[in-house]
Amino acid sequence: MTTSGSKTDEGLPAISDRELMRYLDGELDEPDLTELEARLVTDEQASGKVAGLEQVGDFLRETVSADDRADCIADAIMAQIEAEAADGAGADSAGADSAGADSAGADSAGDGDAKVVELPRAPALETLTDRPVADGSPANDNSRLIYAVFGVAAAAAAALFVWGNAVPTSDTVAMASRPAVATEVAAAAEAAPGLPPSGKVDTEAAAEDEDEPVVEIAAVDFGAQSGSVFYVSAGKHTAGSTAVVWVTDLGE
Amino acid sequence: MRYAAILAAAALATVGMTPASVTASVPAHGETVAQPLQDAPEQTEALAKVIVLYANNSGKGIDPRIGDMPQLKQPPFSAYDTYELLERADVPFSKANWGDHALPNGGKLAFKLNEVKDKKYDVAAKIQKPGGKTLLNANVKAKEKEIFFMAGPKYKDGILVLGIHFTGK
Repeated sequence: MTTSGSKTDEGLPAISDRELMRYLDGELDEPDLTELEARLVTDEQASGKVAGLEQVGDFLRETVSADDRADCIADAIMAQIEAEAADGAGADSAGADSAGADSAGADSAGDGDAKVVELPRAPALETLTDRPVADGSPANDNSRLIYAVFGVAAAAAAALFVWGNAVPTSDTVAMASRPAVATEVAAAAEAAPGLPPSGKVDTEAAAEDEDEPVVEIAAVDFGAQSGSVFYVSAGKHTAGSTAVVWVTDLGE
Repeated sequence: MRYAAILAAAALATVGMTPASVTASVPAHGETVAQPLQDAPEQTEALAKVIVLYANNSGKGIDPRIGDMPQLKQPPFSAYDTYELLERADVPFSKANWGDHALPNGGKLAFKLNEVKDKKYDVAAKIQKPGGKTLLNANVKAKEKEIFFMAGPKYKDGILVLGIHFTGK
């Protein structure tokens, strides 16, 4: 018998919930079953749990068995199919009528075994299906939402168009070039073995500074050496940043 | 329905035009303003004002002769606790000729002017090692009197840090 980690008031290991559920399901073997039943006599906590689990189980069984809405769906569908087939073959119209609404199981034109039962419908479903729909429009009409999305997209595109024309070209170049430099710098700084140990590159300052760069390092060739390009803040009282080309001189 | 289709087509067509592509096809505002006067002489010469610092960890702090240079207190410059002013130099250079300056480590710092536009100097810069081998080549576009740094050449127990700005000759 398995136990949980805790202990009872008597100092015995507490019976696990899994064990109690196996007991209620009748899955315990004989030695464990006897032992557990003996424990339940003295273990009030475990016996309380068993009682609670039994109550829940009883409640669920009663509730599920009382709701038989789904039990007859297959029969109803088969009866409907057979009735329609018989109707199409020129059978008695009574068969078709019964297929429509007779929940008591009227005769169909087939072998007569199938019962026609009106499908139970949940209130929520009825509410949905009974929703008044305008003639000619589908029930899931999302066209307004689609139009709204396209409208917003058009407005955003127009705003971007105007904004793009309003920004001077030099600023556009700056914004495009600075993050690229910052990215290269981050990678180069990682790879540069000669950088000082605490040499954290201020790439964020470079990326966030949207002003036109007063100094732009347009191109660098470190040759056989390694190095990096980055920007450092020019000070707390200055908004700009200063470009730095840092080469690792291996001293060869 | 037709209105929606037109609106959607317009939205898709307009979204496809990014600001970058739009601005690339539109004449730059700056270019119009920046047209040099026809009778203004083209600037073919410039001056690099260079401050040469020796960075090391000898615990002496920042040389007061350097002046206010807050960048030196920030990483990665702050990895060195000592900045000693070695020299200040003016290096003339032009479109036609490289201008160079001997560095304390035996290497060389050199500049060549590509163009000056709106007081922004497009300059080729290079640092050579003592043996004449090139340590780095760079293309720098700097506004007049705006400082930038070139750092890293080995010198004694530390490195050289060069503060540079350009101005008219």
